[in-house]
Amino acid sequence: MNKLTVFSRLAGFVLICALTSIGHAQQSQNAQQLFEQLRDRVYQVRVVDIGSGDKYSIGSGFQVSASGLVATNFHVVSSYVHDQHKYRLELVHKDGQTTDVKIQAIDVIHDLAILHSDGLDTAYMALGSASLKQGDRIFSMGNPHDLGMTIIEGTYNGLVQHVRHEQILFSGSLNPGMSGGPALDSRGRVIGINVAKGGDDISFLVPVEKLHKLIQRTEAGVDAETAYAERIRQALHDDQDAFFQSILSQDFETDRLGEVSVPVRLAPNLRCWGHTKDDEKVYFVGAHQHCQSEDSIYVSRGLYTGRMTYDYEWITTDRLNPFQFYQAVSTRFKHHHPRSSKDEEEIGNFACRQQMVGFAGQRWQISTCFRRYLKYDGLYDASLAMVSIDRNDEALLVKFAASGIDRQNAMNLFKRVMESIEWKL
Amino acid sequence: METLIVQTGGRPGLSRELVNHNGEAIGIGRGFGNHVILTDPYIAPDQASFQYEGGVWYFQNLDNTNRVLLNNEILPAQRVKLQTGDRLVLGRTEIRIFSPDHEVAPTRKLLLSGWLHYDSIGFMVPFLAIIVCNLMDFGMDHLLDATREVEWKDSITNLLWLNIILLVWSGAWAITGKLVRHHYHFGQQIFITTIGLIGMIILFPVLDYIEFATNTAMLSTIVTILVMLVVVAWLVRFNLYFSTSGRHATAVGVIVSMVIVGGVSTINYLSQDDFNPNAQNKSELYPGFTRFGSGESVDSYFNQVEAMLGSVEQ
Repeated sequence: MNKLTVFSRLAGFVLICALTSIGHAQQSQNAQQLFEQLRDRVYQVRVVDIGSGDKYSIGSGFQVSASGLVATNFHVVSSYVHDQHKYRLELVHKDGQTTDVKIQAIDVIHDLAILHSDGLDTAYMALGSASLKQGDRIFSMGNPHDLGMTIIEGTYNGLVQHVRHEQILFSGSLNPGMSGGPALDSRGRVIGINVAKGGDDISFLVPVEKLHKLIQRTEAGVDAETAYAERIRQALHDDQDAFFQSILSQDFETDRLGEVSVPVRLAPNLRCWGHTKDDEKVYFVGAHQHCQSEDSIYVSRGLYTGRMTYDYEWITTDRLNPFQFYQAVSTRFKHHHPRSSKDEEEIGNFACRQQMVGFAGQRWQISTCFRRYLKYDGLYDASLAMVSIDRNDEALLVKFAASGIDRQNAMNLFKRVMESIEWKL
Repeated sequence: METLIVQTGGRPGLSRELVNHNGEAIGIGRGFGNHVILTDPYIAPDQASFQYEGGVWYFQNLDNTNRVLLNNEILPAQRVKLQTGDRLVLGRTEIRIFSPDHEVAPTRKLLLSGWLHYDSIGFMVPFLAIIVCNLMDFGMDHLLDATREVEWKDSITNLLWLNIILLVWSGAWAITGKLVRHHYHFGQQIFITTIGLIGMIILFPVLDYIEFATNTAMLSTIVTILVMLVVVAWLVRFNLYFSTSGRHATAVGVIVSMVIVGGVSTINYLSQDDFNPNAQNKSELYPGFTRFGSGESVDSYFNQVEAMLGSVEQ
């Protein structure tokens, strides 16, 4: 998924205006009417590079209270969050006038941020609720590619399946720069926040309930004194803990793959695929089952976290001698490529421990690797790769990887997986 | 001792220039009136003379255009007394002085009772060695590594490259031999090099196995470097030996090998990135029956992982 921020290269901006009293827009309206009504309450959000004085990245945002709270995506303002000495934040109004804003609250997990400025009008957008039905017409506003404020029309298609964090599937075409803009029902009430796109006419919205919660927290003054890095760390930590505890607290369901039974369907929010590799010229056959979470948490440009993936491969042969067979297995025995970060300021090197381990009546070659999040204590990327080595013509290859997980959850998960593997003879 | 032997140059298999004199003074220089005529433009027409007095030979330098060295030291102005084995450098020419009773080194034994040195090695021995090397290379690849249908084109291309490298390398040494010893040993160079290659073909899978069996990347890295040292030293030592009959072929082989292998290992080590975004494991696998022991328990393995994590924290 591409986040929808647009960087400084593109110029131009339009503000959306229209004043309508809240709760008044009861009738179904078309895009033109909505735009007229609401364009004043949608802003372009700019991260300005202090050194050069020009914008570094842009997104959209919309006013959610008379007191001057503006909602946007966390990823729109993340550069500022991570480096407040280098950047500042401003809102651009319809007429090109700018207002400095401060960050009031962030929700890194759902990619939301609340900004605040005293210098705004009191007109704001009403937040709706999730009473939509699949197929309902919805609208989205924002400033794509810095081309000017736009409104687009699309279809509400319910919640996305197989993701760790709820998102609305919006069949419309969001584009970079529209991030943080509002998605509206036909009565002009906010039902979600633009966040990402997945392909042609496949876009994603953060459900408005997440914004509700964040506004409540903001108004209650929660976290107001805590540094951003600590808020992010705490949020990531709590989120992974909830996810992995829900996995670990259940009895693992197992399913048969070749001569073994392996734990499957570990979490409903993972998407699974299977394929068998058999080529007449290749003298071994590999049957794969792999599952992964398809969303990730944007922390910074150098760090996307919160993914989990696992992969089983049952490899057999009836044509290779034992040496050739294990040569074939060797080529498959590798860790998953971690996709969270390639930035050495964010993440440490992997440290690995590889050993021969005996369980399930077999001996296995197991490698476990961890790397540390340098800015968020207690979080790691963890990776497990293991393969059975006792049989001369069949082997099970298991790979697990999780990003942004704590030590104990990772160890418990890996251990539980090993304990639930059974060799059916 | 009245007899003085003056030797210039000297390569195995070439006759040395000898001057044998009985007590009379010996003139040495570029001029044709000398007893020893040296065709070296850095030497004076009458450079020096050897003089015999009271049972002792003296060396008298006659021209100071260029310095003369005696046993690597600059010759003093006055004449000096000579001893057997002394080494003189005049211009760019080196000469050595001996008396007839100078002790010579013991006779060196030819390698493998000599048969490898004679032309009797013929055509068959190196040819068979090449065949064996090719069969082993293909056979090891096929028996240990092949996991799919044989790609004959690739296999044959690889073997051809192997043989071309073998022939070019041996040929270069043979030409060196022809230049230095006026005799080439092409067959012997091929034979020795092929034995080195066969050694590598056998040893590399063994190294992989060591990595798998011991689970220590460090050990296999060290063993790999040692094996490479031995193989390169072997190749240089014997090829040099046949090309030059040089006295210190083993020492040269070991030094060259240390420089090459040490240099390459150091460059490899230094060019590693400090940061690697991927998790690395030792992927070499061999069948279970090549492995000893029953393996750690899961708990004890995770204790080790825990201990490793403790050290990552710092």
